[in-house]
Amino acid sequence: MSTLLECKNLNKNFGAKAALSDVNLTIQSGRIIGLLGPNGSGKSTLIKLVNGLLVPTSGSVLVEGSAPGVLTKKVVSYLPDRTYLNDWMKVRDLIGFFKDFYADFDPNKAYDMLRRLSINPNDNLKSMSKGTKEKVQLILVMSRSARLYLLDEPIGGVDPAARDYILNTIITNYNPEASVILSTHLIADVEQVLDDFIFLNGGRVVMSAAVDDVRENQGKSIDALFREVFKC
Amino acid sequence: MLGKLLKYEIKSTGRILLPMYGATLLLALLTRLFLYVGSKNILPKLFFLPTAGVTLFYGLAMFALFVMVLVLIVQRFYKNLMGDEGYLMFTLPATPTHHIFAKLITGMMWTLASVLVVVLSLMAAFLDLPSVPSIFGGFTELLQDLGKVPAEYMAHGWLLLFEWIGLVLFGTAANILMIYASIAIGQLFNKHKLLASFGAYFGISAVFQLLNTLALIPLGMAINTTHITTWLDTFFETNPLGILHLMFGGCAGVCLVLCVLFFFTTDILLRKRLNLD
Repeated sequence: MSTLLECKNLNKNFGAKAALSDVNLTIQSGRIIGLLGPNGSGKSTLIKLVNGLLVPTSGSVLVEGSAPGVLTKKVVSYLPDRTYLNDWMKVRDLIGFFKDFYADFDPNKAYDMLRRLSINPNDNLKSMSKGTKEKVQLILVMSRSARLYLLDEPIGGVDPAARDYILNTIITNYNPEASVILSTHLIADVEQVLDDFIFLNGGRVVMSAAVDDVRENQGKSIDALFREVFKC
Repeated sequence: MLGKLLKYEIKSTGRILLPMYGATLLLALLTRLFLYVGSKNILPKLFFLPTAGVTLFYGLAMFALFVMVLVLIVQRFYKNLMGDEGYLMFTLPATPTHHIFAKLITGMMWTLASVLVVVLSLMAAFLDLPSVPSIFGGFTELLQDLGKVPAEYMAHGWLLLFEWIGLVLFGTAANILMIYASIAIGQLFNKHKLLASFGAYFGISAVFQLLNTLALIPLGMAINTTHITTWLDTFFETNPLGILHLMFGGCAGVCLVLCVLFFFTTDILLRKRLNLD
């Protein structure tokens, strides 16, 4: 096991508003981690900082010891909370695009998953529903053999059957040296695949532990614990 | 990495511009056809109406070409890097410098290609074919005459040509990079990024207007003092081509300085202050 991601005294402000305050985290390889918290708790901000799409106000983010940059982008596979694909390309073109830019992308894996989810590689993105686009994005992201997967709301917009397939893909598709961080508020759905969880609230880490510890020591599911911690 | 980015940049802009180039050239040929048929006086007088219509569409097509190039320069930077697509572009293993150059080179390429297409289309529409040999003859004569020019003046000619090419290239690049720098400044704002980008553009323009004016004041004052005027007089008397070099070379130099300034503004902001929402 090695350290994949490290956040030290990480702060991010938007104007006067603090989106993340003093976040300290260490993520080891070989784990599936749930980044859980209510809307606006800073989940997406944290993931964007790791990707270098935002710059910290203070503190640091290190992926395998390096600040976000070309090196870290080669080993991080990111699924954003929005559609980031242009709509004039066919799925086949997008697979070509990913193959061109990411050395760890496996087109066969992508075509195989497309077949399983009955998506035609010759379809235009423009003609697809929002849920189908999300599936295409997830397939592209999971067809890389990256070391750190950052999945922001990966199951939010898809139907329950596809949800099961996607979660199954996440746990079976990555190599054991890699870790997956997935942010969601649909805790009950992801709970069974998680090794660890992080609770974020108001930009602060309020709890982080192994899922099994909570189950054994407190006899609670993460879903129940979440409802308790974030009781309105 | 730059090569791959260029490939996709050219693909995503070419799919819009190449059909427009085709349409412009087609309309130019149609204009020629209508003008030719009209000149034969075999059709009713009212034939000038469709001719005027086709010519008008051809004119609009040329105008639309340049508007589209400008729209694409702005859109490929604003939408592809600062919008949702930026989430993909900025997580590719490429540096902001790669992205800026890929977009700049593509933008310059299409700007120059559009000028070329318009010149070609004008020739296709209006060039008088029987006069072509005499035009070529003129060129050959010109080249022969150039051979008689003393080597000293030829050197000036070559230098002027390079200065002019520099002016065209750096001038185009400076204009495009100023747009990029404005957008890079605009994205710093947490709200109203597009509005802020326009504000930055007009702000930069205003600052350069002001600098221009301020620079002219001491220049005007200097010209009023006698010994500078005498110096200038002797300079231009002994170097009759000096003023041309000053114009082309000087402007090319200023444009190059602007390019460097706008490039580094954009590059540093994207590197250190990226703020995608």
